[in-house]
Amino acid sequence: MDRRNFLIKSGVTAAGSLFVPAFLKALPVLSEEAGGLKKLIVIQLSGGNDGLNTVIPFRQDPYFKLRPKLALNESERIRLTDDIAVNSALEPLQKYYDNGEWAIVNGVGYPDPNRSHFRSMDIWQSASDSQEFLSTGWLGRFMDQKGIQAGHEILEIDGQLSLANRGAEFKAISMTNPNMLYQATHSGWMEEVVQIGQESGHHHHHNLGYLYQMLIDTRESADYLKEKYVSSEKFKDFPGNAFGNKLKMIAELINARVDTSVYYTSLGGFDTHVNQKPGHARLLKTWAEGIAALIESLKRSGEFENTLIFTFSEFGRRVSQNASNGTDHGTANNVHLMSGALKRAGSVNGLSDLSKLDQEDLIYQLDFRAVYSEILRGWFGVDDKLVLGRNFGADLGLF
Amino acid sequence: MNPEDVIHLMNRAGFGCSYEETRTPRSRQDRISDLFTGPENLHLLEAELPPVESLDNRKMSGRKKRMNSKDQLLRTVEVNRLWFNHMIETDDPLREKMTLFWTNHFVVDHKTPLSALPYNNLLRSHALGNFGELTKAVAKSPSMINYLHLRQNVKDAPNEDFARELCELFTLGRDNVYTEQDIKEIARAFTGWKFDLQLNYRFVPRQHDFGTKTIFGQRGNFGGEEVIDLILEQKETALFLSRKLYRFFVNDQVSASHVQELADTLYANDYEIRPWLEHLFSADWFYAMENRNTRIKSPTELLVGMARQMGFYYPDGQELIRLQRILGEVLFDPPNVAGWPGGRHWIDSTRLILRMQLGFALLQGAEMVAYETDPLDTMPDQAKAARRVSLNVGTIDLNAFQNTHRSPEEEQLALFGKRLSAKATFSEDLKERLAQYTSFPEYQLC
Repeated sequence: MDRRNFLIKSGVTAAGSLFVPAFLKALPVLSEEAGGLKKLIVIQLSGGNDGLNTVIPFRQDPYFKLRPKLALNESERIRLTDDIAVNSALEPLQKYYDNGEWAIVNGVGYPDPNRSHFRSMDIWQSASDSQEFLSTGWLGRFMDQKGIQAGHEILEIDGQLSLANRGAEFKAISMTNPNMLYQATHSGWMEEVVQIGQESGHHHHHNLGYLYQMLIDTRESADYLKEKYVSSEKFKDFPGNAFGNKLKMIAELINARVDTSVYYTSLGGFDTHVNQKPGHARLLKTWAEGIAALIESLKRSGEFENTLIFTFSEFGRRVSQNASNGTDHGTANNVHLMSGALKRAGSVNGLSDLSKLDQEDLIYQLDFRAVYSEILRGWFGVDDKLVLGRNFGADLGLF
Repeated sequence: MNPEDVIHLMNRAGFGCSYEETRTPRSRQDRISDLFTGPENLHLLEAELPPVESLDNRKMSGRKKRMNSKDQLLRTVEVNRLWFNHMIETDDPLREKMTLFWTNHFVVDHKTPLSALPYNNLLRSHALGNFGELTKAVAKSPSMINYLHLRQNVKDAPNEDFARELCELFTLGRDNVYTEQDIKEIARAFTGWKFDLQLNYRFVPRQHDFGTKTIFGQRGNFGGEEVIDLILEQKETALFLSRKLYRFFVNDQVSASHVQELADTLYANDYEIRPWLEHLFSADWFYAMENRNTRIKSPTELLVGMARQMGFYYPDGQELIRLQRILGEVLFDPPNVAGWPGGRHWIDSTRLILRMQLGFALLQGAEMVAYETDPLDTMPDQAKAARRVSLNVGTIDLNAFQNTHRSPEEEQLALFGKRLSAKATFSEDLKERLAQYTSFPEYQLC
């Protein structure tokens, strides 16, 4: 059933309604029905993932000198190639590296780095300069640029909408699952409110029209998602933790062929100031097992070639360990891109040089916005400059 | 003044009022002059503060440091609650509304009550005074000196943070009038601005650059206060402030001619705030239909307004701070130096649904879909998963409300500034009816 038929069936196009759901007004720009919709799944590792204990610079002496207790020894890391080793907790992902389905980009950061979680996360999400304050996010602006109006074009699988997914006009939807979204938007009294709103016809009114439109659109998205989700196949082989559940939801929605081009979710706990080693390995294991289950389900759905999984964190951590066998907030970090359609995979640039530090921190090699620009231009085929404001040059040749 | 006009004025100049307050027949001018109270009515907030020595954590262990900063944050939350309750209870609502306005203008992120409380009182004291004096007082306050790194701004190594925001965010607006060179020269003029161990402003002559500076093409041995005077001479400052005021009090779609009127008034009165606001509240365009019920309430306006309009009291404990956090505005904890962007940025689909459920949750104990949050948000690395949560219910004096609102029409006028559609059938039960009212998108506007 296509979107238009679905809406007619659910009665929302009945004569007399003043608020037409936004995604009926505009012809669908992106549609999944025909298959092949390009999708992006963004995984945010919150708290500042220690990139140096994720992808290990085991050929550099300072790594062992500056981290006497934290450096990973041979049994705690796995070799992906002669030069690349990762935390052994990432073992579930090894085969994707071997298949050319995992690209690691090293030393990603930005000039004048900020070490506050909140501020640095805002910088990454809004794609701003260090001293610039933007109230829209890079993915929200991407949707603005495409003229997309249906909120579920971006679904955040969390309780709160992140800055990344707010556009000037476009506003994404955040939810835990379609049933809960449906219940919250379809309570008995909510029906009444919508009815009265339809009849009193103040839809031309500036902000009131905006709010009613948002309400109608959210309800339509909730109907649409629930209808698609309820009848679709449910997957079993996901880890039973909260992160696994969120990825399972994403996999099921993709398998249900919903018209969503960006999924966004997070895994927290990476602020490892104290006794980092065991806790960090556990977190990486959670990430790796979840991602492996996600990739397998995408492969079964035949969607891994149409899907890109992008993992980032707001900053890396200090090269030297601290006095509590942990690490403090740092700067540049690695990001990870996985897809069945990568033109280039593996470690696509050199590891950061640990002998050249700025105030004990890594010097970034590549602006994170160059990675965004590659995703926007190479993956989605949109003008990255219109979203990011300027050109960030580098082409890694991933797509 | 008719009830609709009074309610519009009180929604914008304050946080709303009960219908009762509209009954007294008074002219527009009288109502406006009632809004301005004399200095004898200035009510500063008071709280027991930790000793200033508690800010010096240099000798603390890592654990002690973390405990100390958590304690400072907890006590900042107490100041938040104090101010929030004061906004609900005050008989000087315009002063509090302007304090809120200046808080999101001269933005500071406060991590200790030793910063939050005195700064809040500073803004309150000057809220209806003179903008030039306010700016100078802010520039000398330890909170701002600390936040925008004036302490690090010394003769041989100027730090431009304050100079840049002074021009860009506080007075002229981004890339307006000033040049990069002006910023450098202005930073020089503010060298040596510090505070002592007792948190009092102190000028340190040996760290001040007494050399000649060229600012806006004028040469002189300018100090910080003289720079502020130079900035105020620029008419663009009055225009920038008036545009911001218009967005806050009138409409986020700006009318250039109305803003120009306000700017002329502010400039002609040497940046006195009272005539500026009097012009605003007296103007016929302020009461025009296109400027009514159109501003999206900030979370503070929504929460304080509910309490003032209904005689509602929030439950004790951390509930209020949690609510501020999930709605996106925790007092004293702004997102960055530019403050909350406001307007439509307050609301996305998740927050709209949350706001619509709020009345049912707070008045009737209904469950709502929200995420659990640490009120301090000291755990920035936690994912925020939504689930069904129940809030503690607040208290409300229904009899008092019923005595002051004699019909559904009066209830709706007080809450919306107009009558809702006649088609709606509301509950007979007052508490449920109030919850129903607050669930309308109309209630998100004032």
